[in-house]
Amino acid sequence: MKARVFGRLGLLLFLLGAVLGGCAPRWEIQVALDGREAAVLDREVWKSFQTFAQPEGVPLEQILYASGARVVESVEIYESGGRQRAWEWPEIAGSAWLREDGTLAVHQEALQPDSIRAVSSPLIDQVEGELIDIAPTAAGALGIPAPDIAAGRILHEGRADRVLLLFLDGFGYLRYQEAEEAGLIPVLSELDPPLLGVTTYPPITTVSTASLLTGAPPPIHGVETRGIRKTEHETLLDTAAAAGLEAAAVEGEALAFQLRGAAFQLSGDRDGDGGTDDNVLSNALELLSGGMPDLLLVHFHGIDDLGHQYGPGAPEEQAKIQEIDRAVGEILGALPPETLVMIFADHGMHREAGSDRVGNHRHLIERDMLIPIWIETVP
Amino acid sequence: MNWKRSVFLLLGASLLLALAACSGGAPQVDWEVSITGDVDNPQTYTFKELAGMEQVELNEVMMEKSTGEDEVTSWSGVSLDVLLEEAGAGDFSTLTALAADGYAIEVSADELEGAIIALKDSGEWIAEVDSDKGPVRLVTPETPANRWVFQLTEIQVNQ
Repeated sequence: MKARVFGRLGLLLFLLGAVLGGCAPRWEIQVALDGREAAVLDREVWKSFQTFAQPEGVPLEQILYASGARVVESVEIYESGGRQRAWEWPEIAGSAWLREDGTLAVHQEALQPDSIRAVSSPLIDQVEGELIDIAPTAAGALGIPAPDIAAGRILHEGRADRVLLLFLDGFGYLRYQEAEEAGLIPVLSELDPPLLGVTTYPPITTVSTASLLTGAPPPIHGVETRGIRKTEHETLLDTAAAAGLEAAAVEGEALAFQLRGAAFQLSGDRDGDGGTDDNVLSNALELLSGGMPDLLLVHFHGIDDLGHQYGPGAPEEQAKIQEIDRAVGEILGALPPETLVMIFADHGMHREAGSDRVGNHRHLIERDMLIPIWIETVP
Repeated sequence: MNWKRSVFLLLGASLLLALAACSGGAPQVDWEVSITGDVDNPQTYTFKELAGMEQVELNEVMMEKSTGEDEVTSWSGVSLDVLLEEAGAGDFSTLTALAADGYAIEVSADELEGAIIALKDSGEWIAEVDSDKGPVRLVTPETPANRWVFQLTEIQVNQ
């Protein structure tokens, strides 16, 4: 008797749940980028972004990136009642969240958008290269296959005996321009001007390193959030190893990302001077003095570290830029002939108010997403 | 008849589970940590061996995270000094801690005061409560948590 009652009650609750679930309000939002329809969002699409959901919702810029945006300048929100709101994207990049019920929270204000219209930075039309182009370019120069998921293109035709990847963490394109104008980088200024490049989103080192090594964007290589430190996909280091080439890396005190296939050397602060870039430089020069490997990655972290600590443009960060410019000069001077050199940043940096970090990088904004890519050949 | 038997079986299973939970025994974990580099006697310890050694407790340690809120935490495990002594490490400048997921970091000797190879987090085996961050973790209480290498497999001593 009791079992029957409980059974019926269970069935009733199930039906009620099904009815209520089916009655959840439907919503639809049109997303346009630079005047072109880019996506249509609804509850099902929102669920496909659930991996990125925070308590506030899914970051709107995650959706904009998936819709094709690379660097956003401004955004307009149109609500069903005819209300229109507009922002410069840097004002709200970290404060715009789409919730499962179709509400868009901007600075804790709840909006009910019918459409979201994003406008790209005008600089995006001048972009000449991407971070994901570096692996195919290096592979092409060495005469080995690009990683199997690589989606980037070759930026420089021609073969080289060796390739050096010089990784200047956090030295974004706009910061490069400012540093050049201020006369901080005589060595880099002597080179041919860098390509205006764009990194992948989110612009953080682990994700960028996965993009660099695989030549693919995050939705393909799968490293889309902080905290993932390796990829199972083939990387440039794998294809070099498979071709019998010698690959090596000189890192800072920590390996930000697994460098499977390369002999790596860490450069902790063994002299206790509070920084690791001098150790990276000395380890790189020592390695080069013994003969350069076919593929070498050298990673300077200091501009990023001091940018976080003091902010881009602070005297401490400027001094670090000068130090690393000198280090680049020493390394370039120690290279053997027929070496292709690519010097690049993984992301940029912006000043951030209301954070324990003076500088930061995580948004679809010019300062975070635009990077310089120098391509040089040692004759 | 059947329901009585089921109740007894259920009670018996619950009792066994409770006994297992209260025994405090180390979980069966296939894991090794090696001490290598500039040492006289390189060592390799299994998880079981580490669990059988004297355990040091670190209570109310501030975990300074690179992202998110800092947290007050408690850990227990084997003193790093003991392991380094067994391996015959003399004076050294840095250690390189390597993890199974490919992470590695070089830590200065002066940052290692009170360091342990932790097996438990807040009294629970890391292997059981947070297997992604275990089963063993380097905890250096005087440094930010980016040096607290989880999935620790090797410590290289650098002169």
